[in-house]
Formats: sequence, structure tokens, C-alpha cells
Amino acid sequence: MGTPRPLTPEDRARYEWQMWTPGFGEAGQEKLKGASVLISRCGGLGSPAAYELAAAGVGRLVIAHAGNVKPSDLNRQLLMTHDWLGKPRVESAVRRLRELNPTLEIEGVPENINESNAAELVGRVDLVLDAAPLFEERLLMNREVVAQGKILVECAMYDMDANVTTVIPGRTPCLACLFPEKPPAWKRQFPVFGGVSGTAACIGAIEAIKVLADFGQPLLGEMLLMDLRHMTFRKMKVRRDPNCPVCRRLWD
Amino acid sequence: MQIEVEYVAQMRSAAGGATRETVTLAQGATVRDLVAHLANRHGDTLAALLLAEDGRPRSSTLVFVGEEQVDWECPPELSDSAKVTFLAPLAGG
Ligand SMILES: [Zn+2]
Repeated sequence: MGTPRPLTPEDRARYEWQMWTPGFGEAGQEKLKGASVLISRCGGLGSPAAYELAAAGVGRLVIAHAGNVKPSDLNRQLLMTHDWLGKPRVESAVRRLRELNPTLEIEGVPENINESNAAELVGRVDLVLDAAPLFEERLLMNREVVAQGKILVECAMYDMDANVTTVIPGRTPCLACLFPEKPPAWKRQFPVFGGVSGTAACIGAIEAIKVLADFGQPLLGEMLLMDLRHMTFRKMKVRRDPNCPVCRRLWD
Repeated sequence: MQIEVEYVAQMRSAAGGATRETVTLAQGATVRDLVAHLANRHGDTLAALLLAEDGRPRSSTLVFVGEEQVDWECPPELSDSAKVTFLAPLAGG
């Protein structure tokens, strides 16, 4: 985890209201300022999550997302704007985050997570907020998080359902414990309202803030299942696979 | 005995669109018996999410009895009015 960094008077003014949160305070804010998070990608989940983390004052954000803004991004990818159609998504995201909070370090990477960049990108941060639409990318980030002893906040959604869980290697099941292979049902395109992906994103952002500032009770070994069609929320206990090829060695 | 089954996300459409259903199984039935029953009842789309090509339970599908995930390899016996939830993992974004 990063080293806490002292606050400036400008920081105290900006974060005053959240520092009133019991268990967080100025010490928590200093931890966030010293922390770094990778968000990949920056779509319906990653956009609101990155926006909340920037608003909350996480000192360094790394945003990875390839491609240009398309009209069909705009119902949920809230860091993309109409005037940026046809231009790089990551530029739009970085620009909007800097507009909100120019005191942070924000790095844009115009790539999605792949075999050749996963280790390096995960290595740059304390925590990964997984907002990728493809399981290949999710499993790659998980592999690197486990190998490098980082933390993974896993946000996911489909239709009106969403779920969130937090992985701390050696303390909780990892993603490959839960699904060792790419699920056959998953398609590249899926039904989504921005309000559904945004719900999972905000819960994921709060998970990241709790873990980085060390307060509250994160979803460790638990998955929050949210059914927004019926407004049913359930917290389920998930299990470690003792034969998991990714994290087994941490438990020997 | 009666088992309450709940489907999440893609499982729901594969099971015909309902979130919940109740099925009747013989006393002593396990999660695997329930899966065989559901695969048979709802046809290929749901069966493909529950079972791999070799007929074994699909490792990427999560099964919960009550609020706890259970192991496909040694599935527990179910008790009357147990609630079983099936989740095919989500990504999204
Ligand atoms: Zn594992």
C-alpha cells in the first residue's frame, strides 16, 4: 500500500465533508492521497467508479481504455461526452477527471488490459478496480493481482443484475477460484442502463476507499448480489477453490 | 421435498424468464440431482449453463444454498424448502 501523504489546506477544504465520516477522518484522507488505483476499462462501470475515486481524492489514478467514443457509449460511460464522439475514450476520461479534480495525478493508457501490458499496469498501483467487459481481461488482472500481492475490487453487471466482491490474495478467494474459465454464456454486447452499471461502480468505489483507508467492512469472501429489477440485495459467502491454479500457492 | 430455485442474470432468460420457481425432489436429493432435474425441465440453453460438454457441472457457474456458495465436486444434500441460487458470472461495463 502507498505511504500516506500530508494534506494541504486546499485538500482540507475539498474533502472536509467526507472527513467527517466516522472511522475515516484526516488520517483516512492522507491514506487515499498516498494511494493509487488502476481502472480498466472506463465504460459503464469504470467511468462512475473513476469519477467517485477522483472526487474522493485517491492520489493517483491509472485509466486504461482503448478505442474512440461511439454514440452507443453515451448511455452509461459517463466520462465520455457528445463533443468527443470519434475521439479517443481515454482522452475524454482523463480530461473529465482533471476538470473535476486537478490536484490528482491521472494517467491515461489508450489500451485495454492484455497479456503484454497486464503485469506492468497492475504493478503501477496498489489496487485494481476491475470494470472490464471481457472475462479474458478480468482473469488477466486477477492473475497479476495475485502474483504481485495487490488488491482487486471486482464490479460486474448484466441487464438489471450487478455484483461486487473484493479480492485480497491469501485472505479471500480470487476470481479464478470463483470462475476458473470464461463462462460460455457471456457475450460481448449486453443489455445495460447506466444506472445499473453506475450502482455497481459506486459500490466498487466505496469498497476501494474502505480498503485503501482501512475502515469499515469490505466484501471479503463475500459477493453482493444486486437485483435492481426487484430491488433485492443479498450478501453471499463465496468459497476458495483449494485447487485454484492462480492462488493455491498462497495457502500452502 | 420442495426446493426454491432462484436464477440470476443470464440464467434467468435461459430458464424461461422467471426469477424463481419451486421444484419437488425426492428426499435426500443433492444439488447435482437438482441440476439434472432443471437441465431436463428447461432444455438445452439452461443445460449448457449448468453442465459442461462432458456432462459434469460447469465450473464457471456459481451455486449457492441459502447464502453460501457450495462445492460442485461434493455437492451437499438439500433439505426441504432450501433456497438454491444459480449465477453465471457477469462482467459488463
Ligand atoms: Zn484462486
